[in-house]
Amino acid sequence: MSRFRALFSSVCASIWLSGCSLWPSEQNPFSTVDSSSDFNDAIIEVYSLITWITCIVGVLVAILMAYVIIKFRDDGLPGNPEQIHGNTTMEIGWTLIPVVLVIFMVVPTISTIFEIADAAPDDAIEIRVVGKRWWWEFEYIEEGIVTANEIHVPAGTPVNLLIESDSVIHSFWVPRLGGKRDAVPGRINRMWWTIKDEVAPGETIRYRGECAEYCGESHALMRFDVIAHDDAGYAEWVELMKAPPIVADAAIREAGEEAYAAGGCVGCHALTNIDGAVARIGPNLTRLGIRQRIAAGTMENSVDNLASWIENQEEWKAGTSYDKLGNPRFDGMLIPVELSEQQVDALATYLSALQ
Amino acid sequence: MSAVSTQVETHNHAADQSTAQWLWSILTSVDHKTIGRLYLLSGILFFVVGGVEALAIRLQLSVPNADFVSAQRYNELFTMHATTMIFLSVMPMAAGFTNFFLPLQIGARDVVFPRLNAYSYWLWLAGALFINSSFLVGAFPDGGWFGYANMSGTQYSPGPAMDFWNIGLMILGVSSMTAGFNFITTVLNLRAPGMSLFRMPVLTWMFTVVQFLVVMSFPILTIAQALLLFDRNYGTNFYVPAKGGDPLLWQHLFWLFGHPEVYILILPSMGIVSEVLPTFSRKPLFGAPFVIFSGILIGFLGFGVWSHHMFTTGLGPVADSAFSLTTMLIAIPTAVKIFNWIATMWGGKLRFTAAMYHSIGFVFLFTIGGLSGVMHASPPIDLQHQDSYFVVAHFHYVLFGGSVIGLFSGIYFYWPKMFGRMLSERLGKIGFWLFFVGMNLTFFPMHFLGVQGMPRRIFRYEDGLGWETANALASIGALIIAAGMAVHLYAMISSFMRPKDAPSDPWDAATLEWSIASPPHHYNFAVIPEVHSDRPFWDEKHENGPVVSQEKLAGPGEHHVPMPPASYWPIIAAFFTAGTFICFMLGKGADGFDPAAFQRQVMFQGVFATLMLLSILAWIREDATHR
Repeated sequence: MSRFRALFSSVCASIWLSGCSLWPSEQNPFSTVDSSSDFNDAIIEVYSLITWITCIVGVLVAILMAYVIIKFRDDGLPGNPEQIHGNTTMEIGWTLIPVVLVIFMVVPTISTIFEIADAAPDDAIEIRVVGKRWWWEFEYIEEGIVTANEIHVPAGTPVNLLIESDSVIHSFWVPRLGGKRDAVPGRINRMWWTIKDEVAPGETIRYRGECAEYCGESHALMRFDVIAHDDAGYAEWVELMKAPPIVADAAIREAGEEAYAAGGCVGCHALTNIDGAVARIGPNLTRLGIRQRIAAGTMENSVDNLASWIENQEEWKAGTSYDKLGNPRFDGMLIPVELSEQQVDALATYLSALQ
Repeated sequence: MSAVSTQVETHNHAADQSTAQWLWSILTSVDHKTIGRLYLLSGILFFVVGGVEALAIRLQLSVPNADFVSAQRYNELFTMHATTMIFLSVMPMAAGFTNFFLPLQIGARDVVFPRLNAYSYWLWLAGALFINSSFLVGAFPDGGWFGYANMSGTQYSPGPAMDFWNIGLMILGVSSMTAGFNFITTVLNLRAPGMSLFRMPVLTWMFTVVQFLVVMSFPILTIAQALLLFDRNYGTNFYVPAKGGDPLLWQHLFWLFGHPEVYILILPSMGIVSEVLPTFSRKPLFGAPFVIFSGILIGFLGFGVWSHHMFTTGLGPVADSAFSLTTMLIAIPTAVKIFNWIATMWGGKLRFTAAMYHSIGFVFLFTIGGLSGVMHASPPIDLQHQDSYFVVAHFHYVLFGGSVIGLFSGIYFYWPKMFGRMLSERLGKIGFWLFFVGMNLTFFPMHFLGVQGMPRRIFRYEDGLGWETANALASIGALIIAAGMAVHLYAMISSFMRPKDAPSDPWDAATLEWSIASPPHHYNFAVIPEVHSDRPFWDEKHENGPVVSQEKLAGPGEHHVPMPPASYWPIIAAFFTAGTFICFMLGKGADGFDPAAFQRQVMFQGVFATLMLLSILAWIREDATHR
């Protein structure tokens, strides 16, 4: 018996320990229950109420079942138990219990639905979000900034997102900032939130986002980031993004622009400091150097990673350049990018220098 | 009319037959019991196939940054895992029990249309093989079992992969529809004297509700798929937004089918549990009319909740509120059922057989799945849960902990009646514990993965996200489930090496199927019994009620009862029906409508359709005099 007890307690301890490592903590970048916005606060309020109700009901049912299983084992004595066919009073009783619980859950649910469906305030920053295969384009409507895979916003100011898609259905999800909204081609969905975390001057907080709707081969590699600044930091970023980037080192600039032309990059990627580079098929590369990550939030931004991404995009992210039958995804696209190793390095160095 | 002399009597003893004769007797059988066995065994076979696909998924996700399978292969795996488990495993297993026990429980000798019944099975098998034959041409479906438009269109799913899925599912739909009408007609027309609707066993009631759901929901899927077929083959634009179509139209139609489908999967197991718990508590089912009405209500409400799969698509607050309310209402009849099951055990004399283990496990696990379902019935919560691993955890508690474990309860309960052989109780219990521990280890941590923001259908994740422990546990759990399945399979296979000596009533059960031999003679009942209560056989044994058992009514041994003869027309008609559908593969234009391809399709389709009609004509003109 004591051996059983030791086994039991060690099993309990290990369940407890693994349970602890399962529960989301501050270290989980995608935690849904560590709120950083008013939107997620509203969700969590009804979330925790319903979680408590369901967990308590579940535990009570489990206790009841355990009692019945232990108490009413076959005693082996002859004869059948009393043949009870039912009891209408009890039926009414246990119909009313879930009715009451449903009322307790539905009322706060509906009030929250209407609360989060309210229109965004007038002073909100409006950003058009376009889900692409497999990256995100962000367009700041008033500021006229177009960028990819990184939304920069000031904390404490409402942000209004107009979510759409140019391809298949995607879903825009930043778990810490609230629920997800699908990016459905042919329609515009809205979502707004205000980041409630404090950001120290000169610093940023990164909230990680991901595509939640299955959208094809590289659905898993369609990430993005929301970068929160304080007001001054945000204003600085906006000014930076509006001005064309200047690469001071002439050697880097010339070699880079030559490779940009040779690689046919201009056919898909916009770059405000190169004339005619205005296409919006691929991500806008303006000030790529200040982005924290590349390849839709899946790689650190460094010269080496950039070079290897240019060379091996299909390997890292299947379907980027070819469809499932092996045909190039974009008409007239130069694939594989026919650049020498030196040209790739020059291009990566140049793009990193766009700061 | 002259009898067809080439046909083999289906009730010959296996020992007297050569293998070829035995095979021929199966291919031409119109006996609901043979067809039920075929459905059940095929479902178990495909359960292994879907399980292997699940193991490959868990292998890939067991560690971060894994590279066992490519993204494309992974997408194919989860698409085929779900398609296989839903349409090729759980539905046919339930269809097996429906075929075998619905006529027995109402005191009938067969279904109303025995040959149509054979046709349903062979058509189902043709559809199942067709979907999986995509493997042979290296084009496994990869658009998810939900096949969301516009990704399932030709622009984003070029090649034949999604055609296999689309056309295969259409074939399965025809099979389910014919079976559904057959069973509804049977229940309405072939009940034994005195068997009023409310004297029907709860299992038969749940089967009946399921058949109504099937015949009302599958046409919706077929319509959605026909539109997809037109888009893919002929360049129409029902779902193509660039040409003015709407991808959400697909979601509405698909889930208008898809949610009733969930109840098609769970209600048979609820019926099984409603037979097993009373039997092994030695009590009648507590509040049987309430359990039946709850089942009907669940089926009815199931048609009014589809948009809860679409809370994130932006339907607006009014629609979200309405669908949230209807969804939560389903919790009420579900709770009534659970309370009635527990009340059935209350005050009973519980015998813990393998079937009882599974049924008690069902009630416990289904309760967990039901409660987590209530959580994301609330749209604000669903905005976080949707497409996350929380949903994966939820529906595996309902579909594995519920449907599958309920069906395994049925296997241990009904195997003696179906095959005349007892299953090992010891292996059944070992298998149950491996299933129970394995499934909790696999799916419970997935709740936490969802809360930690892990989305579904991703083939890879990096480390440092806090997802490692839960994924590792889930993969270990999957291996334990596989071990449990191995034990169950061994129990089933080894039962065939033992003598065919199952008693007619091994569990002291209450309903008509236990009052006849195990397995029953091909005519089931030599004398159709007269029914005076909802537990006719129990009353005969324990309350000195009217006699229903065949030994007493008709005497021991076999009797001559005229039955419909075997027929090869159903399998031939099924073959040409499937062929008619498969000809759609030929009509696909390279880019939009292609007259040459269309001509080719119509030509071949015409041949197949003509042969189908001719075989149905021959079937009609066949001498089906009961012999």
